[in-house]
Amino acid sequence: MENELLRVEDLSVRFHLESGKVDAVNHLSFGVKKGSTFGIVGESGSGKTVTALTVMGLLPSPPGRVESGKVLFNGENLLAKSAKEMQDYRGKRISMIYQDPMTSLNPVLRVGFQIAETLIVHKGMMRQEAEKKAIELMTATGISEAENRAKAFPHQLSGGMRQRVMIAMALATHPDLLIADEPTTALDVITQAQIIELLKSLQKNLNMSVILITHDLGIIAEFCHETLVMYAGHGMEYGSVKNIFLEPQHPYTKALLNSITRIDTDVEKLPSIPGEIPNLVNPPAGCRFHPRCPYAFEKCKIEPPPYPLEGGRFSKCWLSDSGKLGK
Amino acid sequence: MQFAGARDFLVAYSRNKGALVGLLYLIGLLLAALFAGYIFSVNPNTPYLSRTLLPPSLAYPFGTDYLGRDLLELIIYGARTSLTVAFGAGVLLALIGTVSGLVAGYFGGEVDGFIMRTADIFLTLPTLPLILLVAALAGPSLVNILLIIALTSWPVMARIVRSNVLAMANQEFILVERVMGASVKRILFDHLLPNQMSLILVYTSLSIPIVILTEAAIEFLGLAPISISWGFLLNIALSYWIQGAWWMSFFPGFAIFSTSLAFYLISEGLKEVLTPKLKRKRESLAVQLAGKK
Amino acid sequence: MSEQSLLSVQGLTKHFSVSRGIGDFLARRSRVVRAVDDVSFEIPQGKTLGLVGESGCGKTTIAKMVLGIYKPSAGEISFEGRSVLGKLPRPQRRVVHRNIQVVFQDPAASLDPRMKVGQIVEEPLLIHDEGDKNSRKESALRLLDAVGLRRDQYDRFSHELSGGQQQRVAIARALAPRPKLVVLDEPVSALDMSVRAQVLNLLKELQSAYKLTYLFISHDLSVVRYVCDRIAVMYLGRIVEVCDRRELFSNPLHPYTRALLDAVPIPDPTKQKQRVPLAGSIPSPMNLPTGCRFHTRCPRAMDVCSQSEPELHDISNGHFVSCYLYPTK
Repeated sequence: MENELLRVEDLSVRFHLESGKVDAVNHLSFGVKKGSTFGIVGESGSGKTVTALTVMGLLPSPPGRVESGKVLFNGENLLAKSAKEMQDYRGKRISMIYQDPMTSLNPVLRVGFQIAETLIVHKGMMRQEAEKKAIELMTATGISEAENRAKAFPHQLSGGMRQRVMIAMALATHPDLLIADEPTTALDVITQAQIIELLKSLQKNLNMSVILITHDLGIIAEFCHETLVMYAGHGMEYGSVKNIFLEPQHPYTKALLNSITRIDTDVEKLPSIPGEIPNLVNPPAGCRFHPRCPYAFEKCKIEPPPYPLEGGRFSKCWLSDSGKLGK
Repeated sequence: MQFAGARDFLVAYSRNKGALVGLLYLIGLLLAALFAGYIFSVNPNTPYLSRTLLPPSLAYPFGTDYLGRDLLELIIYGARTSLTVAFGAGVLLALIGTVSGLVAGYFGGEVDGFIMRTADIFLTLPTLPLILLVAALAGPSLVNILLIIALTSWPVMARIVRSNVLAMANQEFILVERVMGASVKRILFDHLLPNQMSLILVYTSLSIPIVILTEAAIEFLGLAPISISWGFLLNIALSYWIQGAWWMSFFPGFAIFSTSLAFYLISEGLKEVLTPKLKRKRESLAVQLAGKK
Repeated sequence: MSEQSLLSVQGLTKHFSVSRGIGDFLARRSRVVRAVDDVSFEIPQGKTLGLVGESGCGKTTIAKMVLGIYKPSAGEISFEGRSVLGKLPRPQRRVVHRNIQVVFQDPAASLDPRMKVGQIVEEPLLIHDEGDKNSRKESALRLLDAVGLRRDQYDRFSHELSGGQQQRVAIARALAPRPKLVVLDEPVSALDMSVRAQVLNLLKELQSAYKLTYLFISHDLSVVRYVCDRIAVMYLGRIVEVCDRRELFSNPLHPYTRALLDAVPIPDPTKQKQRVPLAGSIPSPMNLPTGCRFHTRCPRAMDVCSQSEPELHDISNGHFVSCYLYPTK
């Protein structure tokens, strides 16, 4: 598609562990349009982080391996690139921010320098120029007194500040795509709101594509245009945020939306999803959600529902017509 | 790490070939030392002046010394000394170190200060001169050597256990014990101690090579000579080296070396089985990725 | 102090002194973290009080003082009308150890990795010398039933269970001594979304089945809305607002409470609003603002706010606020 910046096609990632094989991602396909925000929602074991790392080329390779699929960035398959070639993409055209800014920042380097470093390495800037730009970036991410703060070490800053530094670092090279993996999970509620608002305005101003990975459905509703719902290594449902929230098709999506606690309304009794997230070393046969699904029937236990390759609204479930649903 | 039983543990342990060799060697040596009286002559000290300084042969695999004693017998009997000191000092230093570390780490404050300062004092005691002093006053004996080595080695164990306990004492499962009204005794011995066992086992087996070497040094230097011991055999062997009786120093030396090595390999094996290693860390990262997100 | 309150906390304060460096020593300055300052609240029997706030507000410190893990610097904690502080006589200590239990946030860390599920759940009974081996096992199996675990989990090791299951074990253990008060410190925060509702529903069922009283600590207002009867909002060691649940969500008074409610993202794309989140970050508890601790970030701060700290007082019908916007009657 013309408008698409990133297309993941039939991606499968497997981990070879001492305890067995784990199919962390199974035949996953989705597309991220230019200048739009794409949310990946999932719980533990859903495969969302593994997907992000694979796109970035950061999958830890001895235990993990890409078994099939392509990651097309502006038409070019990133998985076919060499490590050296990927270095040109990573940090420059695709950036990533993580959940814990404390461990993502070098504790012995001043934060201003760490931002400048990205510019020196990727843009070939001279040190002085890079450090000046770093201060500009820090101000753009809402850090007050940026000139002073640039001299600080990570442990001297609050969690919210550190996350802003990470964002400044990630955006220094004006990447086309930003992957944010649980960027606000470790932050307080109000700081989280600040960061989300910051990301919103940066995304608009820079016309950047963002993939936001989270388990928080509230953030998805606030920030994203389109969403992919993942469970146990499978993409279960995909659609625009409006469609997913107002007319969820997949039983997992429906059950999840019903079971989350709400701040905007009183709930008498919260319907819960029975059972547990499956162990991926020994997942259920057929559809991985079937042991917990109120609509499961015989076919669900034997055969996993089809993997849609094309774009558009889908729900990976025998009860729905995936791929045939309108966008 | 949890094991369904001893069998499970041994299987996992045996994956490290070196550790397995070390364990088998030790068992072999232990058995030989225990049953030495049945396998060899009852008194290896008996001189046979007719067969002095014979090089290794089929009849005498390790040769004979200046008194005509079979060196192989001497070495096996000598193992008794080394193994007694090794296990004795090992167990003693583990006991003192563990209890001190537990108490210091859990109670903190002044108790911690007192125990750690005491540990510092013992840490600075010089082992060899101390042995000399005690040997001069009370005579050389296995027990003295054992005691003194233990007394100068327990502080390091105490420190290690203490820092682990400090970290663990703030974990939720210990806090819950306090809330439930568990006695201090229960918290220390039923909860904290069992969770330190891996550490204690690994560190104790790691200290034993040093114990063996120290004990050998003590006897080699003649500070507290024990008649049949590897160190003392080395001491005697010095004078005969010039005469070409290389076997008199080689075999005792080799015994010291290989026994130390065996314990070291065992400690590595235990470490690999009981605590996560680099390879395991990378695997557990992958498990985390696959399982957590 | 009313007759029926099971737990009553008055003027509770906790200051931690932090080691001084040379600079502090020379300047004769003591570094004190004022984690909790003059906090008072009551929980009637059978009810749930929620303590909410962001990190550093003191909610966990309060929990640890109620549980006896920290000693308060000042103030009083009473259970069933009797103080639980200081050196208590044995029988009173036993009452406290049986009747006040806890469920912590991290289910894996709150279970001894070397113990099996059955042993863990029985341990409180063992500590209090109740019954014999068989009766304890019976009680443990019944508790497993009560928390929705299969009886065959009795012989498993805790690390073999999932997070949700581990938390159920922790709950079963907390119920073993038949307590009256259970302190729940972020009990579902570490659990997956699809499992949270299960555990929250379980906690509610157990509360009515066993007539339990809960002190529920959380940073998640949506969880608190589902579970609590009354809610206290904390900021930097003080309670800024306390009221019944309905009141808090329909009529929040304190500017911080409003900012907090505003900041929570709503999982409904049709209910999105233009937001301006509160600016700045939480000041360090070692360097508290003068006067009202919130005034540095408050959109409605007045002169008086920087001069002295407002008192918590009743505006109407049990709705307490500590803010100069709402003067005392």
